Amino acid sequence: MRRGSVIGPLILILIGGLFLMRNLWPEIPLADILSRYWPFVLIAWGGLRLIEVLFAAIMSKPLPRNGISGGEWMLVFLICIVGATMYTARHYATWIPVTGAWRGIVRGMGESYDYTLPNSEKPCAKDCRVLIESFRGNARITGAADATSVKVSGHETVRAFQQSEADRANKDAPLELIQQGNDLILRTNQDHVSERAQVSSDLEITVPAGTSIEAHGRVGDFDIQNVTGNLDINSDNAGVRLENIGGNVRMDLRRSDIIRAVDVKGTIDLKGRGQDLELQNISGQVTIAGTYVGQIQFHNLAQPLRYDDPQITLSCEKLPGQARLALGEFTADNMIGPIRLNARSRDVQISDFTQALDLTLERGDVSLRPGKNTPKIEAHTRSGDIDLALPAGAKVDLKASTDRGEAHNDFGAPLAVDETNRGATIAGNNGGPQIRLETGRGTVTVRKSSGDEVTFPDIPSQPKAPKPPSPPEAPIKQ
Amino acid sequence: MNGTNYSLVQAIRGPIMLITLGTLVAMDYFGVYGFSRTWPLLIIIFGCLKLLERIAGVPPRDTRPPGGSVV
Repeated sequence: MRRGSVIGPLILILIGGLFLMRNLWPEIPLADILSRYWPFVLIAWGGLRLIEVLFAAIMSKPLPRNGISGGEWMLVFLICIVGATMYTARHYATWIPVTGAWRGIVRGMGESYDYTLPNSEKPCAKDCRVLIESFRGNARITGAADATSVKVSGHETVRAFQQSEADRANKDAPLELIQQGNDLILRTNQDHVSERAQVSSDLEITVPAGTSIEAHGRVGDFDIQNVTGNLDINSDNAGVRLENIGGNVRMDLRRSDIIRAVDVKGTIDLKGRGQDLELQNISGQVTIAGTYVGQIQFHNLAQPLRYDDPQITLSCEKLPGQARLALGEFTADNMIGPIRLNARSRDVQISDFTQALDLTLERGDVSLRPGKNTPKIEAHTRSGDIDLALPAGAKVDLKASTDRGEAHNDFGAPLAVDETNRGATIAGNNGGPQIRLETGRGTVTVRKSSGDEVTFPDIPSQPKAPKPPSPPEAPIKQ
Repeated sequence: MNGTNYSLVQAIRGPIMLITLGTLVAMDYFGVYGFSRTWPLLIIIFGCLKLLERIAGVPPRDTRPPGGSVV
Protein backbone atom coordinates (compact mmCIF):
# COMPACT_ATOMS: atom_id res chain seq x y z
CA MET A 1 0.00 0.00 0.00
CA ARG A 2 1.35 3.41 -0.86
CA ARG A 3 0.72 6.11 1.68
CA GLY A 4 -0.02 9.45 0.10
CA SER A 5 2.32 12.38 0.49
CA VAL A 6 1.79 15.20 2.98
CA ILE A 7 2.01 17.70 0.11
CA GLY A 8 -1.63 17.35 -0.99
CA PRO A 9 -3.14 18.19 2.42
CA LEU A 10 -0.58 20.98 2.92
CA ILE A 11 -1.59 22.60 -0.37
CA LEU A 12 -5.23 22.44 0.73
CA ILE A 13 -4.34 24.05 4.08
CA LEU A 14 -2.34 26.75 2.26
CA ILE A 15 -5.21 27.58 -0.10
CA GLY A 16 -7.68 27.68 2.81
CA GLY A 17 -5.31 29.86 4.81
CA LEU A 18 -4.93 32.32 1.94
CA PHE A 19 -8.69 32.70 1.56
CA LEU A 20 -9.06 33.12 5.33
CA MET A 21 -6.37 35.81 5.33
CA ARG A 22 -8.14 37.61 2.52
CA ASN A 23 -11.37 37.60 4.50
CA LEU A 24 -9.91 38.56 7.89
CA TRP A 25 -7.25 41.08 6.86
CA PRO A 26 -8.29 42.54 3.50
CA GLU A 27 -5.68 45.31 3.83
CA ILE A 28 -2.80 42.87 3.31
CA PRO A 29 -1.83 43.04 -0.40
CA LEU A 30 -2.11 39.30 -0.89
CA ALA A 31 -1.95 39.31 -4.68
CA ASP A 32 1.27 41.33 -4.52
CA ILE A 33 2.85 38.95 -2.05
CA LEU A 34 1.75 35.88 -4.00
CA SER A 35 2.97 37.22 -7.33
CA ARG A 36 6.41 37.77 -5.83
CA TYR A 37 6.83 34.81 -3.54
CA TRP A 38 5.17 31.93 -5.42
CA PRO A 39 8.53 30.35 -6.39
CA PHE A 40 9.01 29.58 -2.71
CA VAL A 41 5.96 27.32 -2.87
CA LEU A 42 7.87 25.24 -5.44
CA ILE A 43 11.00 25.26 -3.27
CA ALA A 44 9.04 24.21 -0.18
CA TRP A 45 7.22 21.53 -2.13
CA GLY A 46 10.48 20.12 -3.51
CA GLY A 47 12.11 20.33 -0.09
CA LEU A 48 9.30 18.48 1.69
CA ARG A 49 9.19 15.77 -0.95
CA LEU A 50 12.95 15.39 -0.74
CA ILE A 51 12.72 14.93 3.03
CA GLU A 52 9.94 12.36 2.56
CA VAL A 53 11.98 10.36 0.05
CA LEU A 54 15.12 10.45 2.17
CA PHE A 55 13.11 9.46 5.23
CA ALA A 56 11.60 6.52 3.36
CA ALA A 57 15.07 5.51 2.19
CA ILE A 58 16.44 5.59 5.74
CA MET A 59 13.50 3.58 7.05
CA SER A 60 14.00 1.15 4.14
CA LYS A 61 10.44 1.62 2.99
CA PRO A 62 9.58 1.24 -0.69
CA LEU A 63 10.55 4.35 -2.62
CA PRO A 64 8.18 6.01 -5.06
CA ARG A 65 9.21 5.43 -8.66
CA ASN A 66 9.30 9.14 -9.33
CA GLY A 67 9.79 11.83 -6.71
CA ILE A 68 7.27 14.01 -8.50
CA SER A 69 4.67 12.24 -10.61
CA GLY A 70 3.48 13.32 -14.02
CA GLY A 71 0.26 14.78 -12.66
CA GLU A 72 2.19 16.79 -10.10
CA TRP A 73 4.44 18.21 -12.81
CA MET A 74 1.27 19.36 -14.55
CA LEU A 75 0.27 21.18 -11.36
CA VAL A 76 3.77 22.72 -11.12
CA PHE A 77 3.44 23.87 -14.71
CA LEU A 78 0.06 25.42 -13.92
CA ILE A 79 1.47 27.21 -10.85
CA CYS A 80 4.35 28.55 -12.96
CA ILE A 81 2.00 29.86 -15.65
CA VAL A 82 -0.34 31.53 -13.15
CA GLY A 83 2.51 32.89 -11.03
CA ALA A 84 4.48 34.24 -13.98
CA THR A 85 1.36 35.88 -15.40
CA MET A 86 0.62 37.53 -12.08
CA TYR A 87 4.22 38.70 -11.79
CA THR A 88 4.28 40.02 -15.35
CA ALA A 89 1.06 41.89 -14.79
CA ARG A 90 2.45 43.52 -11.65
CA HIS A 91 6.18 43.83 -12.04
CA TYR A 92 6.93 43.07 -15.70
CA ALA A 93 9.07 39.98 -16.08
CA THR A 94 12.22 40.49 -18.07
CA TRP A 95 13.01 37.04 -19.37
CA ILE A 96 10.36 36.46 -21.98
CA PRO A 97 12.32 35.16 -24.98
CA VAL A 98 12.30 37.57 -27.89
CA THR A 99 14.78 36.63 -30.58
CA GLY A 100 15.19 33.76 -32.97
CA ALA A 101 16.29 30.43 -31.59
CA TRP A 102 19.38 30.19 -33.79
CA ARG A 103 20.67 33.58 -32.66
CA GLY A 104 20.30 32.37 -29.11
CA ILE A 105 22.39 29.29 -29.80
CA VAL A 106 25.09 31.34 -31.53
CA ARG A 107 25.15 33.80 -28.65
CA GLY A 108 25.41 31.10 -26.06
CA MET A 109 27.76 28.64 -27.72
CA GLY A 110 29.64 30.46 -30.48
CA GLU A 111 33.12 31.86 -30.17
CA SER A 112 33.89 35.50 -29.87
CA TYR A 113 36.03 37.24 -32.53
CA ASP A 114 37.28 40.80 -32.14
CA TYR A 115 37.87 43.35 -34.90
CA THR A 116 39.11 46.90 -34.70
CA LEU A 117 36.86 49.34 -36.49
CA PRO A 118 38.56 51.78 -38.88
CA ASN A 119 38.46 55.34 -37.58
CA SER A 120 35.99 57.49 -39.43
CA GLU A 121 35.42 61.20 -39.30
CA LYS A 122 32.90 63.57 -40.89
CA PRO A 123 32.69 67.36 -40.52
CA CYS A 124 29.71 68.52 -38.53
CA ALA A 125 28.38 71.99 -37.76
CA LYS A 126 28.48 73.14 -34.13
CA ASP A 127 24.76 72.53 -33.67
CA CYS A 128 24.31 69.48 -35.87
CA ARG A 129 22.35 66.41 -34.93
CA VAL A 130 23.88 62.97 -34.66
CA LEU A 131 21.54 60.07 -35.20
CA ILE A 132 22.81 56.70 -34.07
CA GLU A 133 20.77 53.96 -35.66
CA SER A 134 19.71 50.92 -33.75
CA PHE A 135 22.72 48.87 -32.75
CA ARG A 136 23.94 46.34 -30.25
CA GLY A 137 26.87 47.30 -28.06
CA ASN A 138 28.14 50.13 -25.92
CA ALA A 139 28.69 53.74 -26.93
CA ARG A 140 30.75 56.35 -25.15
CA ILE A 141 29.97 59.80 -26.49
CA THR A 142 32.04 62.81 -25.46
CA GLY A 143 31.45 66.41 -26.44
CA ALA A 144 34.55 68.50 -27.18
CA ALA A 145 34.20 72.29 -27.22
CA ASP A 146 36.66 72.89 -30.07
CA ALA A 147 35.72 69.94 -32.27
CA THR A 148 34.29 70.58 -35.74
CA SER A 149 33.76 66.99 -36.75
CA VAL A 150 32.36 63.75 -35.49
CA LYS A 151 34.96 61.05 -34.92
CA VAL A 152 34.12 57.42 -34.40
CA SER A 153 36.44 54.62 -33.41
CA GLY A 154 36.05 51.41 -31.53
CA HIS A 155 35.96 47.70 -31.98
CA GLU A 156 33.49 45.11 -33.04
CA THR A 157 32.83 41.74 -31.48
CA VAL A 158 31.36 38.98 -33.61
CA ARG A 159 30.03 35.81 -32.12
CA ALA A 160 30.04 32.94 -34.56
CA PHE A 161 30.99 29.28 -34.78
CA GLN A 162 33.80 29.75 -37.30
CA GLN A 163 36.39 32.37 -38.13
CA SER A 164 35.20 32.54 -41.76
CA GLU A 165 31.65 33.29 -40.67
CA ALA A 166 32.90 35.96 -38.31
CA ASP A 167 35.03 37.52 -41.06
CA ARG A 168 32.07 37.61 -43.40
CA ALA A 169 29.89 39.16 -40.69
CA ASN A 170 32.53 41.80 -40.05
CA LYS A 171 32.59 42.63 -43.78
CA ASP A 172 28.79 42.71 -43.98
CA ALA A 173 28.53 45.16 -41.12
CA PRO A 174 30.74 48.13 -41.95
CA LEU A 175 30.45 51.23 -39.83
CA GLU A 176 29.08 54.11 -41.89
CA LEU A 177 28.88 57.83 -41.19
CA ILE A 178 26.40 59.42 -43.58
CA GLN A 179 25.79 63.13 -43.91
CA GLN A 180 22.19 64.11 -44.59
CA GLY A 181 21.67 67.86 -44.48
CA ASN A 182 22.34 68.97 -40.95
CA ASP A 183 22.13 65.41 -39.67
CA LEU A 184 24.89 62.90 -39.38
CA ILE A 185 23.75 59.29 -39.36
CA LEU A 186 25.85 56.60 -37.75
CA ARG A 187 24.96 53.18 -39.06
CA THR A 188 26.51 49.93 -37.89
CA ASN A 189 24.69 47.67 -40.40
CA GLN A 190 24.58 44.97 -37.77
CA ASP A 191 21.29 43.60 -39.07
CA HIS A 192 22.79 42.90 -42.50
CA VAL A 193 24.62 39.97 -41.00
CA SER A 194 23.39 36.43 -41.53
CA GLU A 195 21.64 34.46 -38.81
CA ARG A 196 24.86 32.51 -38.21
CA ALA A 197 26.66 35.38 -36.52
CA GLN A 198 25.92 38.17 -34.13
CA VAL A 199 27.71 41.49 -34.11
CA SER A 200 28.06 44.00 -31.33
CA SER A 201 30.11 47.18 -31.43
CA ASP A 202 31.81 49.23 -28.76
CA LEU A 203 32.03 52.76 -30.07
CA GLU A 204 34.02 55.78 -28.94
CA ILE A 205 32.39 58.85 -30.43
CA THR A 206 33.64 62.43 -30.16
CA VAL A 207 31.23 65.17 -31.19
CA PRO A 208 31.23 68.98 -31.15
CA ALA A 209 29.85 70.05 -27.77
CA GLY A 210 26.70 71.68 -29.19
CA THR A 211 25.49 68.52 -30.92
CA SER A 212 22.08 67.01 -30.29
CA ILE A 213 22.08 63.25 -30.15
CA GLU A 214 19.41 60.74 -30.95
CA ALA A 215 20.50 57.21 -30.17
CA HIS A 216 18.72 53.91 -30.65
CA GLY A 217 20.17 50.82 -29.08
CA ARG A 218 19.13 47.23 -28.74
CA VAL A 219 21.39 46.02 -25.96
CA GLY A 220 24.27 47.96 -24.50
CA ASP A 221 25.26 50.94 -22.44
CA PHE A 222 25.40 54.63 -23.24
CA ASP A 223 27.92 56.85 -21.58
CA ILE A 224 27.49 60.48 -22.60
CA GLN A 225 29.25 63.55 -21.25
CA ASN A 226 29.91 67.24 -21.94
CA VAL A 227 27.22 67.64 -24.58
CA THR A 228 25.16 70.84 -24.58
CA GLY A 229 22.51 69.75 -27.10
CA ASN A 230 19.40 67.66 -26.48
CA LEU A 231 19.58 63.91 -25.98
CA ASP A 232 17.07 61.34 -27.04
CA ILE A 233 17.92 57.78 -26.07
CA ASN A 234 15.81 54.81 -26.96
CA SER A 235 16.82 51.26 -26.15
CA ASP A 236 15.50 47.81 -25.37
CA ASN A 237 18.10 47.24 -22.72
CA ALA A 238 20.64 49.81 -21.67
CA GLY A 239 22.49 51.28 -18.77
CA VAL A 240 22.80 55.03 -19.23
CA ARG A 241 25.30 57.36 -17.60
CA LEU A 242 25.03 61.06 -18.34
CA GLU A 243 27.30 63.78 -17.07
CA ASN A 244 27.31 67.49 -17.73
CA ILE A 245 24.51 67.73 -20.28
CA GLY A 246 23.29 71.15 -21.42
CA GLY A 247 20.03 70.29 -23.14
CA ASN A 248 16.88 68.35 -22.46
CA VAL A 249 17.10 64.61 -22.02
CA ARG A 250 14.49 62.09 -23.12
CA MET A 251 14.96 58.43 -22.41
CA ASP A 252 12.78 55.48 -23.27
CA LEU A 253 14.43 52.32 -21.98
CA ARG A 254 12.44 49.13 -21.95
CA ARG A 255 14.94 47.73 -19.51
CA SER A 256 17.96 49.13 -17.73
CA ASP A 257 20.30 48.14 -14.94
CA ILE A 258 21.29 51.68 -14.04
CA ILE A 259 20.44 55.21 -15.08
CA ARG A 260 22.65 57.96 -13.71
CA ALA A 261 22.43 61.60 -14.63
CA VAL A 262 24.63 64.24 -13.03
CA ASP A 263 24.63 67.98 -13.82
CA VAL A 264 21.88 68.28 -16.39
CA LYS A 265 20.75 71.81 -17.28
CA GLY A 266 17.58 70.87 -19.15
CA THR A 267 14.59 68.72 -18.33
CA ILE A 268 14.64 64.97 -17.91
CA ASP A 269 11.85 62.83 -19.26
CA LEU A 270 12.22 59.16 -18.47
CA LYS A 271 10.06 56.22 -19.43
CA GLY A 272 10.45 52.50 -19.06
CA ARG A 273 11.54 50.09 -16.41
CA GLY A 274 14.75 49.07 -14.79
CA GLN A 275 16.73 48.71 -11.64
CA ASP A 276 18.64 51.67 -10.21
CA LEU A 277 18.08 55.32 -10.89
CA GLU A 278 20.19 58.22 -9.69
CA LEU A 279 19.64 61.87 -10.57
CA GLN A 280 21.80 64.65 -9.20
CA ASN A 281 21.97 68.41 -9.80
CA ILE A 282 19.19 68.63 -12.37
CA SER A 283 18.15 72.17 -13.30
CA GLY A 284 15.07 71.30 -15.33
CA GLN A 285 11.84 69.53 -14.55
CA VAL A 286 12.07 65.79 -13.96
CA THR A 287 9.27 63.52 -15.18
CA ILE A 288 9.53 59.79 -14.63
CA ALA A 289 6.95 57.22 -15.63
CA GLY A 290 7.95 53.63 -15.21
CA THR A 291 8.89 50.85 -12.86
CA TYR A 292 12.23 50.95 -11.10
CA VAL A 293 12.84 48.14 -8.66
CA GLY A 294 16.32 48.97 -7.40
CA GLN A 295 17.59 51.91 -5.43
CA ILE A 296 16.30 55.29 -6.57
CA GLN A 297 18.06 58.47 -5.48
CA PHE A 298 17.45 62.12 -6.17
CA HIS A 299 19.76 64.94 -5.10
CA ASN A 300 19.28 68.61 -5.67
CA LEU A 301 16.49 68.99 -8.20
CA ALA A 302 15.80 72.65 -8.95
CA GLN A 303 12.45 72.21 -10.69
CA PRO A 304 9.34 70.10 -10.05
CA LEU A 305 9.67 66.35 -9.80
CA ARG A 306 6.96 63.93 -10.93
CA TYR A 307 7.55 60.26 -10.29
CA ASP A 308 4.93 57.81 -11.40
CA ASP A 309 5.28 54.10 -10.70
CA PRO A 310 2.54 51.47 -10.18
CA GLN A 311 3.73 51.19 -6.56
CA ILE A 312 4.26 54.84 -5.69
CA THR A 313 3.52 58.28 -7.07
CA LEU A 314 5.43 61.29 -5.85
CA SER A 315 5.48 64.91 -6.80
CA CYS A 316 7.12 67.97 -5.28
CA GLU A 317 8.05 71.46 -6.39
CA LYS A 318 11.74 71.33 -5.61
CA LEU A 319 14.18 69.07 -3.90
CA PRO A 320 17.22 70.99 -2.64
CA GLY A 321 18.07 68.07 -0.38
CA GLN A 322 17.76 64.45 -1.28
CA ALA A 323 15.26 61.64 -1.51
CA ARG A 324 15.79 57.93 -1.63
CA LEU A 325 13.38 55.17 -2.57
CA ALA A 326 14.38 51.62 -1.87
CA LEU A 327 12.48 48.40 -1.35
CA GLY A 328 9.62 49.24 0.99
CA GLU A 329 10.84 52.64 2.11
CA PHE A 330 10.89 56.28 1.14
CA THR A 331 13.24 58.73 2.85
CA ALA A 332 13.56 62.40 2.03
CA ASP A 333 15.26 65.39 3.55
CA ASN A 334 14.84 69.05 2.65
CA MET A 335 11.95 69.01 0.23
CA ILE A 336 9.83 71.93 -0.95
CA GLY A 337 6.16 71.29 -1.50
CA PRO A 338 3.38 71.06 -2.18
CA ILE A 339 4.40 67.42 -1.80
CA ARG A 340 2.07 64.61 -2.78
CA LEU A 341 2.98 61.04 -2.03
CA ASN A 342 0.77 58.06 -2.67
CA ALA A 343 2.06 54.55 -2.09
CA ARG A 344 0.80 51.06 -1.47
CA SER A 345 3.17 49.57 1.02
CA ARG A 346 6.05 51.69 2.21
CA ASP A 347 7.63 53.16 5.33
CA VAL A 348 7.91 56.90 4.85
CA GLN A 349 10.30 59.25 6.55
CA ILE A 350 10.35 62.91 5.53
CA SER A 351 12.26 65.65 7.31
CA ASP A 352 12.68 69.37 6.82
CA PHE A 353 9.87 69.94 4.35
CA THR A 354 7.88 73.09 3.68
CA GLN A 355 4.58 74.06 2.06
CA ALA A 356 1.93 71.37 2.09
CA LEU A 357 2.27 67.61 2.42
CA ASP A 358 -0.40 65.21 1.25
CA LEU A 359 0.47 61.61 2.08
CA THR A 360 -1.65 58.51 1.53
CA LEU A 361 -0.39 55.01 2.27
CA GLU A 362 -2.13 51.68 2.24
CA ARG A 363 0.34 50.27 4.65
CA GLY A 364 3.48 51.51 6.32
CA ASP A 365 4.87 53.64 9.11
CA VAL A 366 5.10 57.39 8.76
CA SER A 367 7.69 59.60 10.41
CA LEU A 368 7.45 63.33 9.75
CA ARG A 369 9.72 66.12 10.92
CA PRO A 370 8.69 69.37 9.25
CA GLY A 371 11.01 72.39 9.01
CA LYS A 372 10.83 75.54 11.13
CA ASN A 373 7.67 76.85 9.48
CA THR A 374 5.21 74.07 10.08
CA PRO A 375 3.35 73.33 6.84
CA LYS A 376 -0.15 72.02 6.29
CA ILE A 377 -0.06 68.23 6.59
CA GLU A 378 -2.51 65.51 5.60
CA ALA A 379 -1.28 61.98 6.28
CA HIS A 380 -3.31 58.79 6.06
CA THR A 381 -2.26 55.20 6.42
CA ARG A 382 -4.55 52.21 6.75
CA SER A 383 -2.12 50.29 8.83
CA GLY A 384 1.03 51.68 10.44
CA ASP A 385 2.41 53.99 13.11
CA ILE A 386 2.55 57.75 12.67
CA ASP A 387 5.22 59.82 14.37
CA LEU A 388 5.21 63.61 14.08
CA ALA A 389 8.02 65.70 15.55
CA LEU A 390 7.23 69.42 15.75
CA PRO A 391 9.60 72.21 16.73
CA ALA A 392 8.98 73.41 20.29
CA GLY A 393 6.37 76.16 20.40
CA ALA A 394 4.98 75.34 16.95
CA LYS A 395 1.57 76.81 16.12
CA VAL A 396 -0.75 74.11 14.84
CA ASP A 397 -4.36 73.13 14.40
CA LEU A 398 -3.83 69.42 14.93
CA LYS A 399 -6.00 66.35 14.92
CA ALA A 400 -4.29 62.96 14.97
CA SER A 401 -6.34 59.82 15.34
CA THR A 402 -6.00 56.06 15.35
CA ASP A 403 -8.95 53.68 14.98
CA ARG A 404 -7.16 50.89 16.77
CA GLY A 405 -4.13 51.70 18.85
CA GLU A 406 -2.64 54.16 21.28
CA ALA A 407 -1.92 57.86 21.06
CA HIS A 408 1.02 59.51 22.79
CA ASN A 409 1.19 63.24 23.27
CA ASP A 410 4.76 64.12 24.16
CA PHE A 411 4.33 67.64 22.85
CA GLY A 412 2.21 68.85 25.75
CA ALA A 413 -0.28 71.72 25.72
CA PRO A 414 -2.27 72.77 23.79
CA LEU A 415 -2.65 69.17 22.58
CA ALA A 416 -4.70 66.67 24.54
CA VAL A 417 -5.38 62.95 24.19
CA ASP A 418 -8.91 61.64 24.06
CA GLU A 419 -9.23 57.86 24.24
CA THR A 420 -12.20 56.25 22.56
CA ASN A 421 -13.39 52.66 22.44
CA ARG A 422 -10.36 51.02 20.82
CA GLY A 423 -8.62 54.04 19.37
CA ALA A 424 -7.52 57.46 20.48
CA THR A 425 -7.29 61.03 19.22
CA ILE A 426 -4.85 63.83 19.89
CA ALA A 427 -6.32 67.25 19.21
CA GLY A 428 -5.48 70.84 19.90
CA ASN A 429 -5.43 74.23 18.25
CA ASN A 430 -3.30 77.27 18.93
CA GLY A 431 -3.93 78.91 15.59
CA GLY A 432 -1.53 77.36 13.13
CA PRO A 433 -1.75 75.43 9.87
CA GLN A 434 -4.05 72.45 9.71
CA ILE A 435 -2.50 69.05 10.45
CA ARG A 436 -4.53 65.87 10.01
CA LEU A 437 -3.03 62.48 10.77
CA GLU A 438 -5.01 59.26 10.52
CA THR A 439 -4.15 55.61 10.87
CA GLY A 440 -6.50 52.63 10.77
CA ARG A 441 -4.33 50.58 13.06
CA GLY A 442 -1.19 51.74 14.84
CA THR A 443 0.27 54.15 17.33
CA VAL A 444 0.11 57.89 16.87
CA THR A 445 2.82 60.01 18.48
CA VAL A 446 3.22 63.78 18.48
CA ARG A 447 6.43 65.03 20.06
CA LYS A 448 8.93 67.86 20.14
CA SER A 449 11.78 67.49 17.70
CA SER A 450 15.13 67.32 19.42
CA GLY A 451 16.98 69.08 16.62
CA ASP A 452 19.84 66.65 16.28
CA GLU A 453 17.98 63.90 14.46
CA VAL A 454 19.52 62.82 11.21
CA THR A 455 17.49 61.48 8.31
CA PHE A 456 20.38 59.96 6.40
CA PRO A 457 22.71 58.64 9.09
CA ASP A 458 25.20 57.39 6.51
CA ILE A 459 25.49 60.85 4.94
CA PRO A 460 26.25 63.24 7.82
CA SER A 461 25.93 66.71 6.34
CA GLN A 462 26.70 67.27 2.66
CA PRO A 463 25.22 65.17 -0.10
CA LYS A 464 27.83 62.56 -0.94
CA ALA A 465 30.18 63.08 -3.84
CA PRO A 466 29.12 61.29 -7.00
CA LYS A 467 30.58 57.86 -7.48
CA PRO A 468 33.15 57.68 -10.27
CA PRO A 469 31.44 56.22 -13.31
CA SER A 470 32.21 52.56 -13.58
CA PRO A 471 33.88 51.45 -16.81
CA PRO A 472 31.45 50.38 -19.51
CA GLU A 473 30.48 46.81 -19.06
CA ALA A 474 31.07 44.08 -21.54
CA PRO A 475 28.19 43.64 -23.97
CA ILE A 476 25.26 42.20 -22.10
CA LYS A 477 24.43 38.69 -23.10
CA GLN A 478 20.78 38.08 -23.35
CA MET B 1 21.85 -2.61 -2.87
CA ASN B 2 22.54 -1.06 -6.23
CA GLY B 3 18.88 -1.23 -7.08
CA THR B 4 17.97 0.76 -3.94
CA ASN B 5 20.53 3.43 -4.72
CA TYR B 6 19.22 3.64 -8.23
CA SER B 7 15.63 4.18 -7.16
CA LEU B 8 16.70 6.68 -4.49
CA VAL B 9 18.50 8.82 -7.07
CA GLN B 10 15.51 8.47 -9.37
CA ALA B 11 13.11 9.47 -6.59
CA ILE B 12 15.00 12.59 -5.53
CA ARG B 13 15.38 13.81 -9.10
CA GLY B 14 11.91 15.39 -9.24
CA PRO B 15 12.16 17.25 -5.91
CA ILE B 16 15.65 18.56 -6.71
CA MET B 17 14.56 19.82 -10.13
CA LEU B 18 11.57 21.50 -8.47
CA ILE B 19 13.76 23.21 -5.86
CA THR B 20 16.15 24.39 -8.57
CA LEU B 21 13.33 25.78 -10.70
CA GLY B 22 11.84 27.62 -7.72
CA THR B 23 15.23 29.03 -6.71
CA LEU B 24 16.05 30.28 -10.22
CA VAL B 25 12.68 32.00 -10.60
CA ALA B 26 12.98 33.54 -7.12
CA MET B 27 16.48 34.77 -7.98
CA ASP B 28 15.11 36.40 -11.11
CA TYR B 29 12.37 38.11 -9.13
CA PHE B 30 14.74 39.43 -6.51
CA GLY B 31 17.14 40.71 -9.10
CA VAL B 32 20.12 38.49 -8.34
CA TYR B 33 20.48 36.83 -11.75
CA GLY B 34 17.93 36.84 -14.55
CA PHE B 35 16.26 33.54 -15.45
CA SER B 36 17.42 34.22 -19.01
CA ARG B 37 20.99 33.73 -17.79
CA THR B 38 20.54 30.93 -15.29
CA TRP B 39 18.20 28.50 -17.07
CA PRO B 40 21.06 26.25 -18.33
CA LEU B 41 21.57 25.23 -14.69
CA LEU B 42 18.34 23.22 -15.00
CA ILE B 43 19.88 21.15 -17.79
CA ILE B 44 23.18 20.82 -15.93
CA ILE B 45 21.52 19.59 -12.76
CA PHE B 46 19.29 17.21 -14.69
CA GLY B 47 22.41 15.86 -16.42
CA CYS B 48 24.25 15.50 -13.11
CA LEU B 49 21.37 13.53 -11.62
CA LYS B 50 21.23 11.27 -14.68
CA LEU B 51 24.94 10.70 -14.29
CA LEU B 52 24.50 9.93 -10.62
CA GLU B 53 21.85 7.39 -11.59
CA ARG B 54 24.36 5.64 -13.81
CA ILE B 55 26.98 5.68 -11.05
CA ALA B 56 24.42 4.34 -8.58
CA GLY B 57 24.16 1.13 -10.56
CA VAL B 58 21.77 -0.93 -12.61
CA PRO B 59 18.01 -0.34 -12.58
CA PRO B 60 16.16 -2.78 -10.29
CA ARG B 61 14.79 -5.68 -12.28
CA ASP B 62 11.06 -5.64 -12.79
CA THR B 63 9.97 -8.71 -10.84
CA ARG B 64 6.54 -8.95 -12.39
CA PRO B 65 6.12 -11.66 -15.01
CA PRO B 66 6.05 -10.35 -18.55
CA GLY B 67 2.84 -10.03 -20.45
CA GLY B 68 0.64 -8.90 -17.57
CA SER B 69 -1.06 -11.03 -14.99
CA VAL B 70 -4.49 -12.15 -13.97
CA VAL B 71 -5.57 -11.15 -10.48
